[in-house]
Amino acid sequence: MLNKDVVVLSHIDKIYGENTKFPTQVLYDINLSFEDGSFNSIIGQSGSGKSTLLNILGTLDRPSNGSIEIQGIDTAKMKKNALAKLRNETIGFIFQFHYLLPEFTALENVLMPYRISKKPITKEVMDRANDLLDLVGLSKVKNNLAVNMSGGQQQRTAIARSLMNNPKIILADEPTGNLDSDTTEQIYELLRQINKTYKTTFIIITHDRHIAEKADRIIEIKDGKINLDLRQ
Amino acid sequence: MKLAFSIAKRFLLSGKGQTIMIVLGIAIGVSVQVFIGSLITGLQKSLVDKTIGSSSQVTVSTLDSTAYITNFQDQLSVIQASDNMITVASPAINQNGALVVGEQSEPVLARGFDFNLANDIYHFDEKLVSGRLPQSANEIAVGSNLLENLSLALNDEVTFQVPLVGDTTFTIVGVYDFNVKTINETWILTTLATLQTIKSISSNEVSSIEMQISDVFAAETVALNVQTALQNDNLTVDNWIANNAELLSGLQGQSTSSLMIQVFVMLSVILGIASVLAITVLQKSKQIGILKAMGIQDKDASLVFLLEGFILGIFGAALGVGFGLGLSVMFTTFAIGADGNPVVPLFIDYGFIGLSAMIAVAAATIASLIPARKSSKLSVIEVIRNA
Amino acid sequence: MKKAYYDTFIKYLDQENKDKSVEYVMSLLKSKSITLEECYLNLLSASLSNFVCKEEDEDLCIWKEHTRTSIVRTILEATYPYVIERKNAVSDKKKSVVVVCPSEEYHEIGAIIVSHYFAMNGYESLYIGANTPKNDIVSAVKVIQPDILAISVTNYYNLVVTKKITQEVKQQFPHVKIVVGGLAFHHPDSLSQIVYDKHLTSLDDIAHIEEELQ
Repeated sequence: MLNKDVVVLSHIDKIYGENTKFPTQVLYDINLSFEDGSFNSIIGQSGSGKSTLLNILGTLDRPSNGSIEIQGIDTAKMKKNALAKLRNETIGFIFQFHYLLPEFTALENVLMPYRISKKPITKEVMDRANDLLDLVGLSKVKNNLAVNMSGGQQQRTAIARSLMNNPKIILADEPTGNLDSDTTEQIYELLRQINKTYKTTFIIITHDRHIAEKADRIIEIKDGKINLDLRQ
Repeated sequence: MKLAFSIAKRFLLSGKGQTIMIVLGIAIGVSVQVFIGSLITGLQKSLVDKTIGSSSQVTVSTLDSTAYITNFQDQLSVIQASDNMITVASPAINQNGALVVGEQSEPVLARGFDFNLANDIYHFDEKLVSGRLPQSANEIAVGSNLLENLSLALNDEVTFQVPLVGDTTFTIVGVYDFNVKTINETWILTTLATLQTIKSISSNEVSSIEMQISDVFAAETVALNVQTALQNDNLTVDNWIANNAELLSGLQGQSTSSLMIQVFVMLSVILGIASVLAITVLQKSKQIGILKAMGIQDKDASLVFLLEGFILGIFGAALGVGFGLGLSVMFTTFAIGADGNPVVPLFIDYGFIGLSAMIAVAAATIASLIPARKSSKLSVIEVIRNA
Repeated sequence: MKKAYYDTFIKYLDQENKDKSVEYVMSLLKSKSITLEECYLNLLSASLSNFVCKEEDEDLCIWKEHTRTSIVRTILEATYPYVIERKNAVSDKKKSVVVVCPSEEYHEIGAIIVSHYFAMNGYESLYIGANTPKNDIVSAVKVIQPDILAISVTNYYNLVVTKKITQEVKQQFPHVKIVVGGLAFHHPDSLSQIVYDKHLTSLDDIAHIEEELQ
């Protein structure tokens, strides 16, 4: 049987301060699965638990209960190093505050996930990094330090970086959160194009309805639960 | 390693001001270390040199002051073989008496030496002001003060009076200056044979055997070894330490205080680096967070800071050694006495400098362990949440 | 209805000829060549849902579609006298209905047609408008106290606010029946997550909706 779901969350609870007097539960029994190659958006008010959900999806945070299967592999029993390797190979992250390494150039930032994998940097790898920068329209500024680029350029660099290791899944938390509407539109088009070209699964947190309404699926998180799970 | 190194390098280069400050901090610590070390070692060496450098450090003499060491040539070889720290062993004969010139008379101590051997202890050739050292019978060299007191001149003849023995006429063939008034006033130098004749003892008898040793602080051990080797209850072995307890404790105090200073300097360097690097981890927590999100292993994340400490240590130590040596050169150039010699001669010990540099590098690396651990423990979630 | 009517209408629309389009449809109605239902279903709705965009014309599509929608809306409004006529002809006066599009929902042709259909079937039908914020909808329901609230949603993102509206209306006015419809409900899973009484899939359903809602 072909497993079409690239990520499966089962019965996810997340409780902060479990061992304190006032534990706060932010996620309640979340069951979700994402189809391979789909383009999903997660919406919800701040404090709804959507970012926590994304962090758990990305193995950056562990759930208090429940399991996450990524490409059929249960991550619950994996050690920190194994999770790091999984993230490096399978997941690309795009954050609102882009989180480029300001000490490095755009090209070096894009190459970083590959360098972390500690495989030798061949000509093919360099070509791929350059192609990705081309794809996001940054060939001309690829040797600029990250700090010397505009917000939109930095975000596009972050997108190129998230694609470097050809991940199955891209998790984005407000990828256009601090960008103007024109740039937002460009970034969305770019993400959609990548989704079509590379069949990469996208899971995007956004409060921007223009992005959310164009996704194949909208999931609304409310008070730590799935309030709506809509498909087009 | 390569990845961590390139990240560490970038981190350091991106905060040039901060990096330079840390390197300077380490460098100043190391330079103080090098300078104080050289100064204290130099001070000790010169003090030891001035005090006991030109005297007997271990002395064999007879228990009975009227007796003599017989067959001293044989004893010399026994002594030489007893301890390889002995650099020179030289026979000596002492005779109290008075030097009489006309009406005037001065009490003196006639000292008979084998000048070839004794020169290695007393460095007579350097101290000779005029004339030469005594060679044949009844030739003497006198101190400059005594020459003045008795209004004598080179080649004058003087009478050496020994009660109950009689008078001997000496010829002054040389004048020395030991820079020590009591010696200059009282010692008259002559050959072993001259005094052997006066004392009517055989030519294989002497009063004492004097020695110098390579490590002056080992005098007690050497004395013990010599005593054991001689196997003679009539002979006694003295050493300078027993006779100069105060000097020794002074020197030891200096060594300890120097060590204390160095330890505290290093400690402050370590604390400084540790705290600055700890701040760096906070500054770079965003970067560490994103690197971890991208899948960097924890050990590589800590290695970044360990390498930062190591690199800072290397540069700090190198610069510090340079500073320290520069400071030393300045000190010996500008802090000079009236005679044109440095007030305190510095002793540049490359082994010690190398050790200081190595300690600094090790200290910087150890200091970066704390931030390295912090970096390893940093969770991505905290970074993202505090963005 | 003759296929020729549709083809002629489309020809005028393709030329963006508003005058001719309006005149043509109105004349067909006047001459009773077509019924009001045929006008709404087979001409107006069909002209919009059959709008195809050739790939090479992609740049032209958006404004062409908007122009066509605008012409269709004019015709739709112009047919209202016929709606009144039909409404008065219904002997047993039926209940009242409020038709809305939620906030950010600008596709209103469907909602207007639905509102007309309700009126034609003897309802007191009030179309409040496109892009109506949640609180205004609730306030309208409170003042008008309709028997039915009909919500038209095209963009599926608007189901998020639709869910809130229906929850709030049901909570405050449990007696008000909620009818939903539109492209947004296309996926069966979407419908199950909304509080509603009737999902309208065809305009003909309106004729006997009252019995269904009992």
